[in-house]
Amino acid sequence: MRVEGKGRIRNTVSVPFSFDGRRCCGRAGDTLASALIANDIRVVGRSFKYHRPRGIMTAGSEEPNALVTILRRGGALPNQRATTQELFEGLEATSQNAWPSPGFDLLAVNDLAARLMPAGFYYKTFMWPRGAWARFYEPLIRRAAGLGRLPRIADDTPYDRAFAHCDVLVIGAGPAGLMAALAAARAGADVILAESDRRCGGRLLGEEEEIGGRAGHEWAAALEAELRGMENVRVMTRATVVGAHDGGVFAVVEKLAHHLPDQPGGVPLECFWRIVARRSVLCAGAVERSVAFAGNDRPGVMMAGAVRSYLNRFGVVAGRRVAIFANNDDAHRTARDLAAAGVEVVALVDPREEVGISGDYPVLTGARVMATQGRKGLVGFTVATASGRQRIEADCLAVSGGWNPVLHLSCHLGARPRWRDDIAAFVPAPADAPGMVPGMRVAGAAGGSFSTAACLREGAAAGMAAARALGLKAQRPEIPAAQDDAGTLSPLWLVGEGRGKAFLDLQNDVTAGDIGLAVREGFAVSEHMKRYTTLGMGPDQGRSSGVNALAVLAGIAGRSIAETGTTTFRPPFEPVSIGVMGGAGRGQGFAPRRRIPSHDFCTRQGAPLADTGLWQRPLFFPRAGEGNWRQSCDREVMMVRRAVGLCDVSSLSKFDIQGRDAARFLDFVLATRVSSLRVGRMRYGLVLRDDGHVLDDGIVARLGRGRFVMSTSTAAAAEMRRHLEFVRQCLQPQWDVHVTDVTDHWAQFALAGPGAREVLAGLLPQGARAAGLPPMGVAEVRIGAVGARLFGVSFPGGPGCEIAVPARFGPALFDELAARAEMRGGGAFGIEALNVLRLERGRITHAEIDGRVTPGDLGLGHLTGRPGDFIGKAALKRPGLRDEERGQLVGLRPAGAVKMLSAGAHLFPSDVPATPADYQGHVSSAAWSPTLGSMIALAFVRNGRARLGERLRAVDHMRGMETACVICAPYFLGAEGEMHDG
Amino acid sequence: MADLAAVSVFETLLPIERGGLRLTDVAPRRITRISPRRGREAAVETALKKAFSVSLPGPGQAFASGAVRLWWHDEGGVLLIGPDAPPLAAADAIAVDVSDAWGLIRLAGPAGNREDGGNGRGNGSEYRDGARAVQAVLSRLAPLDLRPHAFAPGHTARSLLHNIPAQFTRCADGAFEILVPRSMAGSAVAALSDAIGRWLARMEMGSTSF
Repeated sequence: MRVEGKGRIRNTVSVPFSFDGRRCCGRAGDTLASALIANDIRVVGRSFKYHRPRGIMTAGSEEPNALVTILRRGGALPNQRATTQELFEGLEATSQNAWPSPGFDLLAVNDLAARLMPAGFYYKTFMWPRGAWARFYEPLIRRAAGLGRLPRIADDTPYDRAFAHCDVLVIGAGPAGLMAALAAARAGADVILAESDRRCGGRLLGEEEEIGGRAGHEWAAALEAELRGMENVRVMTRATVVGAHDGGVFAVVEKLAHHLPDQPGGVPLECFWRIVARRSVLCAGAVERSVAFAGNDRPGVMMAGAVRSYLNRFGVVAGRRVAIFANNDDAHRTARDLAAAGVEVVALVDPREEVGISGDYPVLTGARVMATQGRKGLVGFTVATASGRQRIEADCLAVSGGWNPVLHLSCHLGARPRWRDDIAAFVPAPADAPGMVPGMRVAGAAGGSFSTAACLREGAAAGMAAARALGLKAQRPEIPAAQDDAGTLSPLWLVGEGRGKAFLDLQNDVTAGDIGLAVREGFAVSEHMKRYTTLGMGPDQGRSSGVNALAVLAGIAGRSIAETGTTTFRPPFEPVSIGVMGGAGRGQGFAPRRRIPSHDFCTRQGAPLADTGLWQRPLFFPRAGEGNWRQSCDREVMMVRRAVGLCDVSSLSKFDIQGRDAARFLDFVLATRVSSLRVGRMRYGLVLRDDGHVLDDGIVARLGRGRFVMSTSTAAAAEMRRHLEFVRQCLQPQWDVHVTDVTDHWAQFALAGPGAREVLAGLLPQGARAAGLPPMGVAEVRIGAVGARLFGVSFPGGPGCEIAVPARFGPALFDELAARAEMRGGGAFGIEALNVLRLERGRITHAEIDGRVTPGDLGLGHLTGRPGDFIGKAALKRPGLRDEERGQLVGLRPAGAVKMLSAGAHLFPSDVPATPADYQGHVSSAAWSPTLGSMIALAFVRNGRARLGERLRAVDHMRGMETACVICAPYFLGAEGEMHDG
Repeated sequence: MADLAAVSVFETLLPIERGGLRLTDVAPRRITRISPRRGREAAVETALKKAFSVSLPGPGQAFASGAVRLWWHDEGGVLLIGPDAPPLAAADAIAVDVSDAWGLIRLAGPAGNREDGGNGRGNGSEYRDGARAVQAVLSRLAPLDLRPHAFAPGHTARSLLHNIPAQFTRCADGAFEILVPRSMAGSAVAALSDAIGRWLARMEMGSTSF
């Protein structure tokens, strides 16, 4: 309900929204949680395992219960925290994990059957019959237990992503963060201040306290305005730092449109920032922790600080009769603020014997809450005092067990927090501890200093120190007067006497009893306990439960909390949607698309394009009457063999290599000798890795004495470039070699077939001479005014050549060549036909060069026998690489009733079962050869070259196919090694 | 036969103007990668100074004089963008024509391009002006520190434009010139256009952190 005269929502504009279909009204400035409280909605969902009714517990992102689904145009957003979801007009939210409704949930039967489902029950039961776990039990359990459902449709919500750099990143804009940002900014540092809330102020937004003689939240607003007015400060609100990573990089998720109704297309919902900061100040504050007692999960049981926030900031209270149960002085402010606002405080229960409080409400010292009553919401609770037990009627119980510093980010690089007995809490490790985030300082409540004055002082000091560490002159800003007493606390984790479940982790339904069970089962180490009980998993990652659970575990196991230690803190700090991490990198944005020069020709001809690496290449060029790709492919193959074909091979990488030591360099990089190559000639070569395996193959052409161009595959372009630069810069830096990647500069087209010569002859003024280019010869020619290069090489085999022109002339040249080829009964062909053509001739691609093969495996061992050193030479001598039982490249043809061969099939002897023990090799490429009227394949077979003519069985488990086949030489047309001369 | 027709890199893609930002094709006549031989840098510098009055740039430096740009490019090489390469003795340097390997995009804010880049804040209309708008758009694509003191006019860096290898240079007027591989020109323009759209959407929402 609303409390008259309370709240800092100046605006009283009424905002309609709906929850589970019920129409409600909130106010501008409300969160969904505060609006639900204002509408007296107590049950907001059902719990994870027992389906117990649950209500709003906190006022922050640590909320374990109030996870709701927000309906949006693009689909439902599950697991949104009602406590951080800002209200907007028309917001539609639904509860989760309840059927048919959170008020009446059929699976609440789980709560009655709880004795059958202790922690880890699914590890012990559901194990029979074998295999049923994955197929039957697990899906069933997952459906019953769980959080919201992901929408089943692709998420087309736009997300933004961006990079930012700053000198000082201040994480959290409470009193400490504001002062840190001010101190650093006044020193001249570039500051980014990141705050999860929509406003700066932190706890001040929910407290009644003064800073420098004015209300704390007003002081914060004034300072926020001052910071926003500074040129060197960027204030990011609704932005949560979710990860601290190496190199001063922080991941930040900024909410852009969660607080707005559905926006027109293009407006991003969130932005994923990568902020690089030279220094950081962690001012993330602290979260209040609960006390475990029987029935502490009943709707109406809330955190004391949250009750205060709802009252002071939003002007709402979750009950008419409120009680407080706390072991610390800070929570007494809840009683004070409620009483001052005219809300009835029925009791202040404090387990400490001596408490200096006075108020117009009953105070019970040395007392503990034993149990609570109420079905779908709290109606009362039982208190044990020295004089006995008594029942108190209340509909809201504000609980506090103290505060835990939000130290998560300080641990993301591996640091372990330290336990401090005086405040009974873990604090971040010192700045010089191993694994601490380099350059990070901690200030305020995040470091365990809970008074406002201490936060202001420490924030200012940390901001100054960060600026000074960057060489800036920093002066202490004036620190306003503020409350300087953090009060005292006496640790209380568990009231064990009561009957019923005393919850530690409300999100995962883990009770104190479950921790005891884990210890009895032998899982007494914190990390083991976490896995066994699931405590601290899920969206909140134990933010509200972790320390309490460790304390209970320590108590049961008879150790100190410091000895017990925490579990590991990992990014992200808060749940992050996969969509925002992907950002603009989906669909077309996933990877750049590289276009070949003949791209427009291909699309005009209706050629389907395939991604080969980043390149888009045409699969085939369909003609009228062709119903499927095979018909087009077969026609294109026959066209090349009988007339002439044209193929864009511009995607092959091309390196210009020059210098006095260029030949020596290539001798070193290639297994093949290059220095003996004459000017105007080309040679095939293999590039090996230093472990002796083939990295890539290619052709080197010698254009001048110290001038080469090397063309290697499309597939390994990036590796090759890296390799060449590594050799040049690191292995042979003293050599005079200059490598320029000219892949994009040249458009290069292959002409193949008996008509290739004629097509070329008409194009070149010096046609006759060019057409007389010898195989493996290279010439620089002119097409009109354009300088071109002619290479006497034909990857598809048979007569042919490749011609290269600067890329701007590529489209025109391709059109011209295609027209001339068509006049001779030929035309363009795609990579399907290219694959068949190269297979017929036994040319290898990266289907064969799969990173595991040696030159010997490929039948090219003779290339490596030369004198002189080259990369990979030494490693080739290893016995394992010379073993005759290695797979050797051979050809295969079908030799039985089944005529189909498939790449990826495995080879076995004909007469034994297909088991790994009898494995003989695998098929690397297969295709239908229309020239031969048969399937043909390349394969790697153990000692294959000595087994020509032998029959094997190709078994394709993926396609359920078996083919009897016979081993043959690894080429089907032409002669062996024709391309390797030159 | 007739001369082959040339197709420019951004033939149908540019120019684009959105929200006061302009993407245009610089369309340099020629790009040459000049790689001085070891110890011959001074001779190369003399030749370049004589031809264009520009020095040999060191790592991260980009010099401009009229339509002549000379950018550091990689370990061992600089790019001469615009004019034909001057006569260089083969003993001094290797010059490779890479005119068609690259496309050069200019991203400019509205007239003025004031050099007040700063840390990015203020209201939308103010921010639409000048260098800040350009910086805000590029910060959605490139992991570079583009703050004016870290990336002043005359500075150049190889980095990624979204996921495209690119080279970024800040011009004296606050605009950026971005060199992208020819084959990826379409993706580069799409990425830039998308980033401009995302930035404009934020501006329209009144966002204060860009």
